[in-house]
Amino acid sequence: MEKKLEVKNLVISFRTDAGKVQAVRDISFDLYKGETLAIVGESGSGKSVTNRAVMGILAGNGMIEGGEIIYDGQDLVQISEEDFHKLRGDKIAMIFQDPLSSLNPIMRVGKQLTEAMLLKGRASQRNARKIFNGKLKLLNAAMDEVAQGDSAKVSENNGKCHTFDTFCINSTKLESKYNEIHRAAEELQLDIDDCVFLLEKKQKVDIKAKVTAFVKRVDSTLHPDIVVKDEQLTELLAQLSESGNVASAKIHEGETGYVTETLIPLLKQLSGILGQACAKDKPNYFTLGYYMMRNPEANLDNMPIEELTEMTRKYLDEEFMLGFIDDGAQGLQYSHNKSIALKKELLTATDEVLEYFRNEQLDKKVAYDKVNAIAKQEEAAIDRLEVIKNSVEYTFRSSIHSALKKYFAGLAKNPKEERRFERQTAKREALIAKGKTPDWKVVPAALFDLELGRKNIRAVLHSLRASIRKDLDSDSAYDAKAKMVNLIDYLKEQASAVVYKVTPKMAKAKALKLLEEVGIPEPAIRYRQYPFEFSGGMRQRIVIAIALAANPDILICDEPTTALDVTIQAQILELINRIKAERHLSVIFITHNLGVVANMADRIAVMYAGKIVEYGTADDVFYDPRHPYTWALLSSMPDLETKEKLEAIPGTPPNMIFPPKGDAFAARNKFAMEIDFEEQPPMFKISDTHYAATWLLHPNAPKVEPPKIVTDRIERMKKKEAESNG
Amino acid sequence: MAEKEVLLSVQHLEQFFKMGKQQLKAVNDVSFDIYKGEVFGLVGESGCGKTTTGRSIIRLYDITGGSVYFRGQRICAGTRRYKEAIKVARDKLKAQVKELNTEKAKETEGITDESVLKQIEEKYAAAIKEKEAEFKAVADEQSEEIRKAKFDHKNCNREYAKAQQKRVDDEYLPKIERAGTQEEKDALTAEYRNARKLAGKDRITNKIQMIFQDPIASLDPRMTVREIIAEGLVIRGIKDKEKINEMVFKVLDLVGLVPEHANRYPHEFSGGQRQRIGIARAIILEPELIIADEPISALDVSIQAQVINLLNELRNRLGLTILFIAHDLSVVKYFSDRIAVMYFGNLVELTTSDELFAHPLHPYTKSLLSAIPVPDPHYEKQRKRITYNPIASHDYSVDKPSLREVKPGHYVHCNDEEFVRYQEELKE
Repeated sequence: MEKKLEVKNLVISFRTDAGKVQAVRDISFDLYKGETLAIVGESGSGKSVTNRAVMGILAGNGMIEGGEIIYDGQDLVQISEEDFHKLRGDKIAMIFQDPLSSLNPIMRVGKQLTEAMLLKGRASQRNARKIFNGKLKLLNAAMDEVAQGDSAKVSENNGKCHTFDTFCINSTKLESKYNEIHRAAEELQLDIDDCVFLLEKKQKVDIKAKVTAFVKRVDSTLHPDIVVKDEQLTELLAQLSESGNVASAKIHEGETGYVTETLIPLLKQLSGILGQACAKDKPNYFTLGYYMMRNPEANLDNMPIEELTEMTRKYLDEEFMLGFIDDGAQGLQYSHNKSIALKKELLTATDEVLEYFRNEQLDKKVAYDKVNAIAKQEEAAIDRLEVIKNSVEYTFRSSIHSALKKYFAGLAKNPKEERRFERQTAKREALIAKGKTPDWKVVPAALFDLELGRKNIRAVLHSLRASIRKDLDSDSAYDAKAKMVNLIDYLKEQASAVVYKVTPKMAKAKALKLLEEVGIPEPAIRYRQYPFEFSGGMRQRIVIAIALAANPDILICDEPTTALDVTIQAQILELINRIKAERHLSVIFITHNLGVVANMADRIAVMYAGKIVEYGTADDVFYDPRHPYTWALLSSMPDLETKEKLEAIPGTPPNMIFPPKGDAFAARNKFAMEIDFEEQPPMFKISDTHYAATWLLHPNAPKVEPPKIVTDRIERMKKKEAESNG
Repeated sequence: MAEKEVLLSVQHLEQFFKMGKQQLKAVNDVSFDIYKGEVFGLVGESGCGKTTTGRSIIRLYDITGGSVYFRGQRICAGTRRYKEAIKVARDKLKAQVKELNTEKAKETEGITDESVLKQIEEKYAAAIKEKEAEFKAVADEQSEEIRKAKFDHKNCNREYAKAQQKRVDDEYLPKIERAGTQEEKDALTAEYRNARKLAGKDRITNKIQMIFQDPIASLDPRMTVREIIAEGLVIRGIKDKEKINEMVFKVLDLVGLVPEHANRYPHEFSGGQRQRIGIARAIILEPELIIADEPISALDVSIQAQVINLLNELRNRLGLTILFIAHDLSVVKYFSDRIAVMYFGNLVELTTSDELFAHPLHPYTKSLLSAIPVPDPHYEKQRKRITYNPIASHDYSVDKPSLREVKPGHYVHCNDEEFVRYQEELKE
């Protein structure tokens, strides 16, 4: 699976008057495409802080002390605010806990929804065009190099790339037009069905206005491949508008028979026509676009769609595509071979640099020179025609620079810090010796661990080496043709982003659709209202709609349902699940309620006091929990069969200014052993997907059973499942 | 069930809010009884009127219609129903008079003889008078009711205080009479005066206390915990500082805090502890009924368990009756004896908690139950949520629904046709 987001060894703390609060202490996790990762923990466990760091919205006194957050080949910890601005909300969106405070109270909901779409529209178009041109240019260059100075071949290549560019954009334009009309037809059908439903239930409907609107809207659904205005349709529309008038007059007289006998069948007929039209196959616009470009005069309106697709496809393949793929694949192979050769050289160079960093003493100038040289070599070796960016390769320079910077800053600062500490201690002792009691304390010396600094530098190099090795090993499996097809798909995707233009009218239509998608009735009225006019659940839906407006890759939900009641909660969760499936979103779901997580999560990370204490798939955590904190969380909430006294977790989470020495949960843990108070447990591996940090998993630990309430529940769940499976 | 003592009885409670020209029917004709010593759960989605019901009972709002009886005494009463009855009667009268007049016009048509005309005139005048007398009887009766309701609503506390004072009189006066020496008499008289004064400030509504949803918003940040908890006592007229301290420490101990906490301010506590302070404040006046308005929704799961355990323990120790308003059904199921489900101002189903979960009848209850999240991934992935659409589920165009007893102790909001259907459903 494709990794969307990697968080590695993240450390975050906050400066406060009382001292440094260590909110997140060295956590790592991955997020794959299309999955939901749930982060569970009490308030103050650092789950929100982690995700705020991912969004780049940490509070002013927060600082990221170490680690990396890698998204799309960029390290989000390193990039500038300018670059982050392009990602935030656009690629990574967030839904906050309190819907009221995340909406602007003096702006209408509609404006808040469309604002981002309009702002983003032009920028994303330009951006996509840049990517499209850049990749195509690289491909063209690679193909030219294959030609080795054969000028005829070079000009042929140029021509091919140009043709690809033109027809790709053209056909996407055609397709987007088709999509728009198709959507209009679908919406019209749904609205008609709604109206029929209400009429059948004898609800109040403004018949005349509705019918007139329906008839008018049919015009916007006309397209040779969707709804065709033939005689039948014209007649139906005429009948409909007439019967609309009659029906509304009859309703005034109190007669309802006419509506059920005449109007409803007519509406149903129209809905049927639209339904059929929408169910028609979609022509392949990619191939059709090419055909239209070559034969602008051709009239294909009456051709059956299957035949049309077949014909245009054949035409495209023979005329252009097969040749283009062949040439392109050669180009890709060439670029790949070049990159592999460079990587082989790079491997030995990396080993050399690594050897230097094993030294105890490092010279700043030498270290920087060596690193710059290898970074340059490394950047040259990247195969930039790969569609999926390798995060290690792309972030190498920034990663190693930050590690170096930290090391040398620590090297310079440590002696100063020691001197300050000595001076203050001496001063304090002098005061005490005089018999005074000073009302201040000596701030302990915050020394940078130099050994750790060097280790971090080496770790970056190690990971680069591992990545290169992996590339070299998989060299034989390189299939240039398949890669070329992938590249074309990728370019097609970018082309659609280039064509996709947002006008205010479209933005409004899209906003209304979004409002409806998130389950807000009467969106046209709601669009013009202010946030205070909505109930809690509705407000949260609006926040979700705004988050989705930009079509993000990653959606971070920070306790989105905590303030809502059960039915609304279920609706919102279903909504998030549905949207996730539709848009292939990756979701990070933060909550303290394990019941909510069961429905949502593919994988779960349980956090306590800034650390991940258990990490596994939903099945692992619910059916085979291992960490005492997970047990405590599970046993402190009642389910429908619970009768016995709940086992509350005694006490409160520890003060993170002075995090406990051993396991942070030890003080509240009735299974705690002596070692828990002295040493932090490492992550024990239980299965390939399941990890937990507790000494209970150590081979020498005594066997401990989870609390009865948990085992009973698991027993019950297993039984229930066995029953449902027969 | 029948032998149990009814502590609180809510009858036809109506609470309407004005919204410009419109009226918002937040609570529309809700009736239920709460028995002594039970936990009565009130569930429903936000905005369905469950909090409004709780607040109306404790008289934070003046109710629009209906009455609430606490220990047999009416503590709040609204007048809308009686006014409505008068209005209906007046409309009826108008219609009848109009009808009689048209009849009269029909009868007098074509008749020219004056004596006959006069006769007819007199006949109809008598008939109209009769109808007017009927209306007047109704109006008088209802006006009397209105007067009574207004009196009860205004004076229930005074009446209660009078009764309490009488009790004090009965207790002390004979004692004083019997007292031998003058000193003894003086001491008893002083005690009697004090007790009588306190009794004069006693209110029946003090016996109902409320715990609020948000522990942060419901505690005054500028008062110490001692002041917050003792405020009720001070208003009650107790001035003896030592006695106040003693009582504050006792309730702090009851809710699992220590006496040292009394001098701190609310912001120094965690969420769970703050909610404990809210509970301490509620129980210091020795209430019989506690209205807990979503006391755990704003808390972490682990803290929720602490608060629920605490409420459970207090209930056993102090014999409290609790009206538990919440939307988390698994907690309500765990905690309550009987559950009432509300939907848009109406009570749609009311029964014991086991029965409700075993045989839900009303479609809204079913949809609510299907929305409960369960910590079981396999079950969750298969769970089908039932949606409730009142337009699609019911046809109330002809037959209007009301709350009916489908099975002893199991009430559902339904009309005749649904009543029969539900009964059959139960038999299966």
